[in-house]
Amino acid sequence: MTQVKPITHETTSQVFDTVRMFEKYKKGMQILLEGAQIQTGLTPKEVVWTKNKARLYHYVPMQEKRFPVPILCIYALINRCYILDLMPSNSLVEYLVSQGFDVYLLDWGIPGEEDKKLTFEHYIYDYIARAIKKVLRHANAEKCSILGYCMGGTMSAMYAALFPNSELKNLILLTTPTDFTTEHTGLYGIWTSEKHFNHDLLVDSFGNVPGDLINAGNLMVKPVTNYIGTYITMWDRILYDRPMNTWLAMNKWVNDGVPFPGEAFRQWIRDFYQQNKLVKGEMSLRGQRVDLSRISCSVLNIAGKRDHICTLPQTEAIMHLISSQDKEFFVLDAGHVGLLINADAKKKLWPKIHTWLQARSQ
Amino acid sequence: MLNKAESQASRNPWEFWRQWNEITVKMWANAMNNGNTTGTHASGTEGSWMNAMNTVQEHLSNNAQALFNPQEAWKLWFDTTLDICREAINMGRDPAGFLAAWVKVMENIQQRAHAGKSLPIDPFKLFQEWYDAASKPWSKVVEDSIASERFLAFTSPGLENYSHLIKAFRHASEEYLKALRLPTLSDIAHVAEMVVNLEEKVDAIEETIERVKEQQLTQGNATIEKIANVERRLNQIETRLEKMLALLEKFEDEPSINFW
Repeated sequence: MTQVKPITHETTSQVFDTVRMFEKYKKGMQILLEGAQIQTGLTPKEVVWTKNKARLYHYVPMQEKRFPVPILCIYALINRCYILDLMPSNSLVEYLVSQGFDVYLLDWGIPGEEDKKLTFEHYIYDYIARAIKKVLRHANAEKCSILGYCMGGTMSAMYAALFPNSELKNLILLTTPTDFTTEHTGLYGIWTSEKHFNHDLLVDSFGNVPGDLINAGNLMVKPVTNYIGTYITMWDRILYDRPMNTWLAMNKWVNDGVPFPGEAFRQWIRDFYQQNKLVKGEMSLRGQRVDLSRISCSVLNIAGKRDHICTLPQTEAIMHLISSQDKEFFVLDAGHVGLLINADAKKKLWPKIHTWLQARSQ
Repeated sequence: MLNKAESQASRNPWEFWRQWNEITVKMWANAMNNGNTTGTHASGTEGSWMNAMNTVQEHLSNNAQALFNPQEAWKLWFDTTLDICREAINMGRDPAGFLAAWVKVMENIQQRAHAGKSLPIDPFKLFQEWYDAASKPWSKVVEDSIASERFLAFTSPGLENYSHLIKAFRHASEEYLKALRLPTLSDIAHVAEMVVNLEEKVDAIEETIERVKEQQLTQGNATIEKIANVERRLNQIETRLEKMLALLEKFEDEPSINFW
C-alpha cells in the first residue's frame, strides 16, 4: 500500500505560495495585456467653461482662499494633463489647492478629425486668451498666474509675449523648451531634421498625428529603459509585494497619448524644431510677431538637469530674452516627468512653487 | 562517419558528443581557416565559435562525469560559459561591453556560491541582476544606433512609405464608401466642424453679453454714485433752506433783528 504523505504546515504553505505566485503572474499579465488600470485626476473639480474638446476646470477649494491671484495650469498637446493631478498625495494641483491657492486647469481634451486644422494661433488666441478671461471672471480677480508645463509653457510664453499688458501677473515655466537649436535638442532634433523627416507627408496622410506614433517617438529616446526597464520594475514590484499605485498611474499616463492636431504638429516641427523661429524672433501668429522681450511679468523658469526631452539649454534660453526684472532659473536634479512627481518633487519643486507664488499672489 | 558515431553513441553519449564536436570543428576549420582549428586566425563569428567549441571540449574532457550529476552539470556549464566569455573579451570581441557585464553577474553569483550564500534560483532575479549590470552599455549601443545616419536612412523611407500607404488607403476607403452612399469620416468631421463653429459663435455671443453686463455694471455703479451725490447735495440744500426758513420766521416774529 502506498504511503500517503501527511499534509503538514509546510505543504500547505507551499500550496499557498504557489497560488500566490500564480495570482501575481496573472496580475502582471493583466497589466501587460490590458494596460494599467487606475484612477487618476481625482482632486475634486468643476467645469467652468468648455470650448470644443477643451475643458476649463476649477479645483474645489479645500480651505479658505488665501491668495486672490488664481493659477491657471496649461499642459502640452502631447499626452494628458492629469500628470499635474496624478493621484492623491502625488499631485501638484492637490498640493497647491491645499495651500490655499485658487487653481484652474485647461484640459485640451482629445482632438478629433475635425480638429486637424487647429494651429498654435487657435490655441493661444482662442483658447488660452479666452480661458484667462474666464478664470478672472470666475475668480473675481484682476490678474492671474500661469503655470505652463513643457509645450504648455511654450504656448504660455507666447501668450505672455503677444499680450504683454494683459492680466498676467506671474509666469511659471516647467521644463519648457524655447530654444530648438539642433545641438541642444538631442535625439528629437536629429529625428525631425529636414533631411530625414517629412512632416508634411505625415500630416497630409494622417490628418491628426496618431498618439501612438508620438508615444513611440517619446519612448524611443530611451528605448531600453522604457521598453524593458519599466517592466522589470513592474515585475519587481508585483513579485516582491511593493507598492504599485505610482507605477500604474505613470504607466497609464505614458501610454495615454492623444492625437496631435495636424497643422499644429506641422508648425511644431517646422517652425520650432527645424527653423527655431521662436528664439530668433521670427515666429508670427495671426500677423503679430512673437517677441519674447515683451514679457515683463515675474517669471520662474524650472528645469531638470537629467531631462533628455527638454534639455537645460532649451529651457534656459528664454531667461536671456525676456525683459522681466523679477525672474529666476531653478534647476532640479531630475528628469522631464520625474521632476514633477518623484519623491524629491514634494520636498523641492512643490515648496519652491508655493514659496515663489505666495510672495507674488497677494 | 555518422554510422561509426551512432554505434559508439548507443554505449556512451559523451563519446558521441566528442566525435560530433571534433568532426564539426574540423569541417568548419577546413572551410574557413585552412584547417586551423584553434580559431586564432579566423575572424569574426567563426573564430569566436571555434574558440568556444574548443573551450567546451576542454571542459568536458576534464570532467565528463559531471554531465550525470545535475549540480555538477550546472557548475560545469557555469565555468564553461565564464571561460568562453572571458576568452571572447580577451580577443577583443566585446566592443559594447555586454559580455563584460554578463561576466560580472556570473562572477558575483560564483562568489556568493563559494561563500555559501543563496543563489538567485528565481529566474526573474537573475534577469534583473543581468539587466542592472548590462543596461548601461546596452542602452549606450542602442542610443548610438538610433541617432546614427544609418538608422535614419533606414527608418525615414519606412515612415514615408507607411505614410503613402495610409494616404492611399484612406483615399480609397473614402471613395469606396462614397460610392456606396455611406457616410465617411470626412462627412462626420465636416458636421463636427460646423458644430464647433456654431459653438464658437455662441461663445462669442456669451463673451459680448458678459462684456456688456460688465460695462453696465460699471456704468450702473457710476450712475448710482452720481444719484447719491445729487441726493447728498439736495439734502445739504434742504438743510440750508430749512435754516433760512427758520430765520425768516424768527424775523417775522421779531422784526427788530437785523439780517445784514
